[in-house]
Amino acid sequence: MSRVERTDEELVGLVRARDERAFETLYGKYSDIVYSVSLRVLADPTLAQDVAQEVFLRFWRMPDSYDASRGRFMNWLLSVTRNRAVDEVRSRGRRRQREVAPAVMPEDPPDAHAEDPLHNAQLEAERSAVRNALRLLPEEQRTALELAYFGGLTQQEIAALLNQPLGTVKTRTRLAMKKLRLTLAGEVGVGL
Amino acid sequence: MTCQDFLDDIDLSALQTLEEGEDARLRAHAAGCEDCRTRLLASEAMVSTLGLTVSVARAPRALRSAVLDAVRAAPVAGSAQRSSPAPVPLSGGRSRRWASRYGSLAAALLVAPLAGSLLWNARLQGQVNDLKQLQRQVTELQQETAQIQRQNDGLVLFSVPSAIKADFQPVTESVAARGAATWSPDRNKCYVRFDQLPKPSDGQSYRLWYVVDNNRVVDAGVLNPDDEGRADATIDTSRWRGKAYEMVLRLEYRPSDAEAKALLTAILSRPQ
Ligand SMILES: [Zn+2]
Repeated sequence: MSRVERTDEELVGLVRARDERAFETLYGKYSDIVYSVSLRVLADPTLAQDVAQEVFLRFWRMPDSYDASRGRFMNWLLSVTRNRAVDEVRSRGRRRQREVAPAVMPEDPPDAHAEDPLHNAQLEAERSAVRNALRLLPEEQRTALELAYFGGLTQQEIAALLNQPLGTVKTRTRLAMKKLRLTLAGEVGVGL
Repeated sequence: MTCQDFLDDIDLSALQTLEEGEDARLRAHAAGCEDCRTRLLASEAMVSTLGLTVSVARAPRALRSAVLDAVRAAPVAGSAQRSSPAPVPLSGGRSRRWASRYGSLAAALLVAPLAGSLLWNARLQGQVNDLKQLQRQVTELQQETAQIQRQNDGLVLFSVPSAIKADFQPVTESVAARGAATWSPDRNKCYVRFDQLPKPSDGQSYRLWYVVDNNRVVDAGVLNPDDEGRADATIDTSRWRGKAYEMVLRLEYRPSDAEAKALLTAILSRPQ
């Protein structure tokens, strides 16, 4: 296979021109992370697969829904996935299960198409930067942030769940975001 | 709201963790303030990187085949729509009427100066045929534009924080079709879309109904699925004042067919 490295934005341009291989490349790059985010929010492999499928197919049908002027493709894809999964949680009231950690399915053999060492190395570096930044947060701030992001809970719901005043929860979430921003500035490809 | 008020809650808005009313006020500020809009985008980008912190599970192979088979089945998104009749807009084919009106006008303008001359007959016939062809293309293009407009409406509505969303539930287990509705009371629109609708048999059509205040049942029009069983529509909801609406998709032989089966239903309720 020829290895012409194209940026995600170039691949998106090809997808707009209905290039299936470009779509397949993007799928190979991001299917694991999209599925994993969906699984983490929904804690249900079947639903997670449905949401991931919907996200990718909607992108194929409407590639213009991604607007490059608003940021990187991967950020957009992760946002769309998380928001779609949260909508699903909210509509199904499945919040109780959100703490369940996603299981790697051992019976599912690795997808050979997903291999791209260079891409994985970049993604890996970025992942570890964000994970480290999250690890540096005080426990209560990290919890507030994770309940909001992965649990899809509102600040009021988090306050009720943790039995804390709403103002306290909001302060913790704001501080968590502020620290993340400081730690990550310049490290990951987002305009901060 | 001042920019400072906005900045206090910008990250909470980006996390979509505010109550709807609070969030709507922030988004309204961002809509009118470019600086804050830019800041919100940056905050949303940072929020999205939180997704990277998950333990990565391998996507199932079934997902790969489901996605890529669907893509291969419809390699050129537009072509399937072009080759099949586009869904008739629920509001009644206004675009088609315009196309035919402008088409006839253009034909009349072209035809009139030439009509008297037999000599020109052959060329005239050719031009009329060209014009008819052009008219068909214009009609197709307008139908496609209407469909894209509806899909965009759907996307926009989907992203309105206060939008109310519901999935259509099958009435019996044998129904494989799926659907979703997104209603924005602020924008007075409801977008519905369906997937996997089986091709209706001759004489049958899909018709969407909704139950408005006082249990009045309103006909929202016919949906013509494309070759892949997809159909969508935008409904004007400016008269919806009630708390909840039930939408019903039925397969019927004629309007108000008493025997018609309901296939899918969805309930859209305003939040408490
Ligand atoms: Zn402002």
